[in-house]
Amino acid sequence: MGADIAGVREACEKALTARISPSLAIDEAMVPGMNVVGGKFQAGEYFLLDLIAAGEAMQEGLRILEPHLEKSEVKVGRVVLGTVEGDLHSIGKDVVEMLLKAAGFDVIDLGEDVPAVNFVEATRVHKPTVLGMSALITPTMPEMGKVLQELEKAGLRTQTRVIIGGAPLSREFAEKIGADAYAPEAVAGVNTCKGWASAGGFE
Amino acid sequence: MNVKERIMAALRREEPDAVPVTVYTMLMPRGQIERESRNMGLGLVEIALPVYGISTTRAKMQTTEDTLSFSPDDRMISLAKQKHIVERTFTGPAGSVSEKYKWGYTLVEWPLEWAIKDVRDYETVMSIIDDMEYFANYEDFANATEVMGDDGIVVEMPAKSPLQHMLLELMGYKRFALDYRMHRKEFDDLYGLLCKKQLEMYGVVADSPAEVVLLGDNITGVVTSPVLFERYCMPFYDDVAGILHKRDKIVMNHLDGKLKCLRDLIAKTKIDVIEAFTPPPIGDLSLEEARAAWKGKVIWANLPATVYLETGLDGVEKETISMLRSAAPGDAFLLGITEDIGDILSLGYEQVLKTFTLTAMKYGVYPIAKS
Repeated sequence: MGADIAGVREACEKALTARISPSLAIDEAMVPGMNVVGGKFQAGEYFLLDLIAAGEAMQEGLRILEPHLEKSEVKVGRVVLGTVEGDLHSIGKDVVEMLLKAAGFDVIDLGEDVPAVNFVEATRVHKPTVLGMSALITPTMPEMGKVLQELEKAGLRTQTRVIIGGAPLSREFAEKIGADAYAPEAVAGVNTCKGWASAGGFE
Repeated sequence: MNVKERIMAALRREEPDAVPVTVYTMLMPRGQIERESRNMGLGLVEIALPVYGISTTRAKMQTTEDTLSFSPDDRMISLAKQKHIVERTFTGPAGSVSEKYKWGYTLVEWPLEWAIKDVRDYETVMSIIDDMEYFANYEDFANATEVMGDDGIVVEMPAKSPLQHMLLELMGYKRFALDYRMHRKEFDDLYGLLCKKQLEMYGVVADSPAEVVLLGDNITGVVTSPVLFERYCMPFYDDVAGILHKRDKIVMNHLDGKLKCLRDLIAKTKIDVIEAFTPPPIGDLSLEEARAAWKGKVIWANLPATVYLETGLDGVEKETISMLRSAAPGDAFLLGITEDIGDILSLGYEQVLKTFTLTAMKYGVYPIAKS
């Protein structure tokens, strides 16, 4: 797979000059392209770096097209993302962020090594419909349960759906701590969020 | 056999009296239980300071360190605990680049900014790398070996191999993903230079007293695809193994990720030992699959903490027995704890080590029965 950021930029500018609706360019050209890449990733044909290259190209296009979208067209939902406290890994979270943005979500990235209190505060402030947590090392897994407990204590648990992802995690672990979903990999996680979005319940 | 003899026998594919059980010294809190575990047969693995130093003629490095102020009320600062930031500026014949790190979990450096931020930085970085010369510095390694005695082994771990160095330490994965596709010439030129310089470095390593050399590559097939692995990792590994095997060194690689897609390629490398091999859910190959695929190699497996996270010491015992039986009769096999399990168990890390060691010494006597 190649990557041609300049080509994407040029194509988006041409689309605007030709008065093609920005939402049409996104929905009919860029999103299907990204879906193809996501499908090939899930099939084991593409790898994470392919996904990143395609996501970067998509984001470049969005940077050009988004300012021209009608306000009502802007976002399908809001997701707060972060890697839990004690864990500095970012790659999985960053890929999910990139794919979510490409799918039209408003994403608030809290970064890495995020304490439970920050997840709670961000949920209170940003009112996301999805809260996503990532962990790549085993000792930080219990932090996810802690975040869910803190959300419960703050009375915010029912206001957001929670999805978790990362190499040491499993569906069983997600169920045990009370998360709503487990993402075995980035594309599956984004598809879950898309499913929740299309089922309604987003702002 | 003492612990060191047991480890070396397994690494050299000779018959040990039992499957060696090990832990890195950096993950080993000192104390009574630690001493008891060592007396029961737990072996130590020390990653020593490098056996080489680096000098430059024209390139210079300037380091600044900063500790950010933090108010307990400022709850939205996400980097709340680790505030120690290190910035290094490298100046060489073709200009300057800088990188920024912070001290992270388990006291490893964690990149915040990489030296290569733009394709124009390649020239500068290459001029600096080209200026590097390696010289022997064997004294620290010899001292560490003497201190270790028969309690375990001291391992030399040089720099990450060129591709992983580029990915993890020079440019980060976004730049890497794009430059591999959009600036292949610069990408390949840098890779070629790193190979040339690192092979010079391995000449120094080959002459060192280190018997075991660990490439700390942390490969996972999710990121390092089969195409990248075959094109960039395998030729380098084989060159390194060629240099080190001539001096009777054992070559290991730290491969603790998802390896299913790389399984057949790994089998073709001249790497002797797959170190830190981790079964699911972190890895995606079972121990049986790995043993079947890598018959010519030693597997040094990690007892995965995820498995016993929920089950405590009973889980440690069950998983240890299960892995030993999966590796029956136990030839060309070592079992270790190669991940930092920190404080995940209320029972404490020392108790995990004690249970692990007791169980492994009881059930790991060679040859192990399948059930």
